[in-house]
Amino acid sequence: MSTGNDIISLEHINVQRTKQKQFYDKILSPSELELYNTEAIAEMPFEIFVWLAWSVKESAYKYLKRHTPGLRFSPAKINIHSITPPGSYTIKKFGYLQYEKKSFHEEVVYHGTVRYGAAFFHSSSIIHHELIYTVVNKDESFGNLWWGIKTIGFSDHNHQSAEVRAFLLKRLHAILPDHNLTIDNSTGGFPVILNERKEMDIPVSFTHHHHFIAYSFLSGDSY
Amino acid sequence: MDRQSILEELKRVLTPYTANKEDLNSINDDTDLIKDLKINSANLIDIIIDAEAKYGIEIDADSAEKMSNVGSCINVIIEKMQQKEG
Repeated sequence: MSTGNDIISLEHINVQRTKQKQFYDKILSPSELELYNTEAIAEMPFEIFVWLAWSVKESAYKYLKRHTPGLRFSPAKINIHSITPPGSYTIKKFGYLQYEKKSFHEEVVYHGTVRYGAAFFHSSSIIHHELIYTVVNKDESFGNLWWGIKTIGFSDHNHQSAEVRAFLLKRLHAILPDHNLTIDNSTGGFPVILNERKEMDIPVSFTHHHHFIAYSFLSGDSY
Repeated sequence: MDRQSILEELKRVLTPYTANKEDLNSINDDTDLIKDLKINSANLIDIIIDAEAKYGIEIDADSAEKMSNVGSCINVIIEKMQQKEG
């Protein structure tokens, strides 16, 4: 079991650079570029498509890293096979200071399928004016997947890191009130949840970009 | 071009993407771009493209994958410059 998520603050992407072939060729393969030519996807601005693909690939990398310590992110080696849009491209404002959900059942989602070697994943992405957010999962339903996005006041790294941990812990305390939970970093470079200093079987992933922070984690069937 | 010269130029490439510019004063081969300089992964492609432009080289996916710390960045830049000259 693992999880991987990624958030992109669209206010902070370089639109001109993203549209340069030299840039997007380092993220997208020719077959992935072809996905942009499908009718419903082509309604999306190209720079949004590129960063959507990046977000899917970075999420898959984070998923894989939990089981493959030392793995390095190489977007060209993670292959997106499909992106299924929810309908026509209509984007709304995010409009929340914080937003937390279990599963994506109530969301307008871009579903994707991703492959890295023999490993196959599903991705769920939401797109707003301000952000792209993706979670990658083995299970197509994302039924046991919790995720949350929060807007913070300062974007320095230490603040992002502290805020996202506090954000997740608050959610975990709400669903596991009898536990004494803390968050640590594994030697493999991914976060782990501890209960009374013992590692719990709750895979978690953090992401941040400028003033957005987010988490994803997989829960058990009972909570 | 020696490693020290490339290191000095690499600092200038990394500057726009490094949150705390003072961190660049003490970098060495082992300095990790993400863990130590807190560079957001979304800027890694920017760094590769800026390095390509600065040195007139092309950095392929296999080489880009290796560029996780300062030393490996310098190694890739030297390798690609030698290929260009050869």
